[in-house]
Amino acid sequence: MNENFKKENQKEVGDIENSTEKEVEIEILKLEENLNGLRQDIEDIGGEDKLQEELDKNELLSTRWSDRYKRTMYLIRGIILTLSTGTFAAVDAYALPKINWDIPDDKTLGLCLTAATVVGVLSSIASIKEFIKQQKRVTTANKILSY
Amino acid sequence: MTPDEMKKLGEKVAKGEASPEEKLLFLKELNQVVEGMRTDLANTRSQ
Repeated sequence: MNENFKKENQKEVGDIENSTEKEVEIEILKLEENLNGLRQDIEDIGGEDKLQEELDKNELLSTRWSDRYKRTMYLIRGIILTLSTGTFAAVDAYALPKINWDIPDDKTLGLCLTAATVVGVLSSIASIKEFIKQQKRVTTANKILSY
Repeated sequence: MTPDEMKKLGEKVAKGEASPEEKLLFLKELNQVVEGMRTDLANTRSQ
């Protein structure tokens, strides 16, 4: 009885192993078919060089979107900074001539206003420079992608 | 399966240390990767 059970168990294990082996064989055939299909797809595109070209273009396309986004952000930042710097400059033009530089509190206020304006001008220039840089990248990508 | 896990399993299969079940799992994953590549390629071309 016990011997019979052992034999049956061994047969079942053997069957499972056989079925796994069979599945492995089927997967290998599928893989072979898929790889041949992939090779054919690449040949249809025009070979590996063409595929690389397509992949480069694709990468460029996604980079272009990110560059466009950055470009817009720098533009917005540049506009905001320029506007706030303009406001500071206007305040400076009104307030600075009225400041008595001999009074410490007035002097501090004058220095703060001047420093804020200088920082604003520098940040605006940096943002606009970045915007131009990103715009150039987008333009170059556009040219390459149009070929 | 992460690419790292796939790499490890692939190495095991290549060394002949994988069980039939692991071999099957690896082949199935590999097939999915190749199929994914074909789909991506087809999508790229249709864009």
